[in-house]
Amino acid sequence: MARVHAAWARVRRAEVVGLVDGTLSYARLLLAFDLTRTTPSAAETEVERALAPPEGAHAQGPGEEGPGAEGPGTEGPGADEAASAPPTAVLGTGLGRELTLPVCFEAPHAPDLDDVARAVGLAREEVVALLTATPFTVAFLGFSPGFPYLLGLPPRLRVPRLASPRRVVPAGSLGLAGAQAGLYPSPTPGGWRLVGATPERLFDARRTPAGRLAPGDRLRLRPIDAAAYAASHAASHAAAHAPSGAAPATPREGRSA
Amino acid sequence: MSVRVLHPGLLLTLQDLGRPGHAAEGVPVSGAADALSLVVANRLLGNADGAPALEATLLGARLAFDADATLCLAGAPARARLLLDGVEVDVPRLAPFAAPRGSTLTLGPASVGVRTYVAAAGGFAAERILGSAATHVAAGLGGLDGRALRAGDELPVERRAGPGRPRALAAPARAWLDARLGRRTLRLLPGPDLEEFPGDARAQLARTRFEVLDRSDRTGVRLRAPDLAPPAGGARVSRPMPRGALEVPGPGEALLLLPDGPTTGGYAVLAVVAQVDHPRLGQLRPRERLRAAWTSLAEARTLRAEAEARLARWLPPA
Repeated sequence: MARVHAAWARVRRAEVVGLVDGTLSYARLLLAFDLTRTTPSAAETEVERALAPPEGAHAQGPGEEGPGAEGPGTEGPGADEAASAPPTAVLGTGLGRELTLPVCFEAPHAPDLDDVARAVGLAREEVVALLTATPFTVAFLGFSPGFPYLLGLPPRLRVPRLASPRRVVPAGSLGLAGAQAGLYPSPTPGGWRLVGATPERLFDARRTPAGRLAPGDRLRLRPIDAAAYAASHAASHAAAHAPSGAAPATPREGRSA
Repeated sequence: MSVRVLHPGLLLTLQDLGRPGHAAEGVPVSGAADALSLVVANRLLGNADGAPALEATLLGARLAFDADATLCLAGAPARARLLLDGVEVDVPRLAPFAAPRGSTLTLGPASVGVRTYVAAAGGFAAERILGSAATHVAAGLGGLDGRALRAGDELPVERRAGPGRPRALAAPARAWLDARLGRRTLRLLPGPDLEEFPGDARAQLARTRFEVLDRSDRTGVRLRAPDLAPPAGGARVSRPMPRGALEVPGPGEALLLLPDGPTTGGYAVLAVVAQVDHPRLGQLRPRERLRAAWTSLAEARTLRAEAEARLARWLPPA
């Protein structure tokens, strides 16, 4: 999995002609190309060159995605995921920070916690104790801006997604789905089981990097009560909130060509 | 000068050609759901292709002008009337027109498609967030404070760039654009999970008569798809989602991802819409019926190249 990050870094560094975007997951890297600037075969050749192991290094291992020239709407066949569950190995990107996020596991921030506890045969407090004792690792950011996919969920806490996704998941929610865990930075639809919420902002486009978490970060969850959630939420959102109103926005980076 | 929003209709947002390059941070491309219509409106005004414009949704919008402006409408056809000094006149689509100081533009409901673009000569001024003015409402990115526009909002128009000369569109070009906007058959490429689907999914897809459902938005178009069923085992671990992915979340349901859609997801992807038909996805209208036809990567590239060449011939970039 660290390898998809390494592969993405190499492809980006190589400045492959026509490359417009890259999307990562546990073991897949989707590259998007502007096919008015390149061809699938030229892109594939360039990507392969970028990913070629240095002299004396091992070739690409099994279970790793092949590159492939995949434009938006032109996805080629990729290698299958090694398993139906995400890998549990710890990332080796070398970027990992040790971070702690406060999470409230009380109502109304944990609407599915009771259901999850019942489903796995534990008390509510035991689920929280397991979650807060778990060292999570950020596998990648995906789904919505700044959404971290977390590795390390104890197998005991694996629960299926909701049969029908919620129209809106509140920002900050901690969700579980199968072997996956994640934090919703913004209010989007979502089908994961919500067992808590952090009051902190997880994505701010005006910061660099915009995401609070990055792949490879190690994350622990610190339980807070609803009062602490409210105080912290007010503080973190007031500080970051830009003044709004009818004032004209000023271009920051000038017009795009 | 600036434009004041009097009524935003169902959803009025600022859009451009989006912010590709940030998917690894989970940031979708966003931008005009029908990028072809945005480009056409901008080229007709002599703007750069990606100048920010307004995207109105289904029910139109009402706008007021405090200084002379030159506008162009493209995308979903809708009756548009300009009120000035108590006199109301129809204004054209796919042709630049003057909106004098003190006038009010009333854009009616779309008669075909969903999204009508209102571009202004010079382009709407907006802060670039991660390189783009495109509004992604759920994440609060772009546009005006990251939100949909509402009554009372003032949108400045850029004047400094000195737009090129407004241009006209030949009749065959209009017919071609309208045919693309109302196209009933989507051209699809095999998706990454095609082989996992039960039965002969290729044949089932070609046979399916899709119907667009009401619960569709800028993240995706929901479809009734009677002949389709997902692979056994339900949702899998999340993986990258290409633009235009056709997901099959459950029996008889399909979901087409639009520009605000998730960058990764766990539903199986049966097919991916060819780029030539991406603009059409932004115009799929609730209760509309559709078919799908398989294409190849080679054919899809040819179709897109031909479409770009035609547009460049009729309407070269500014």
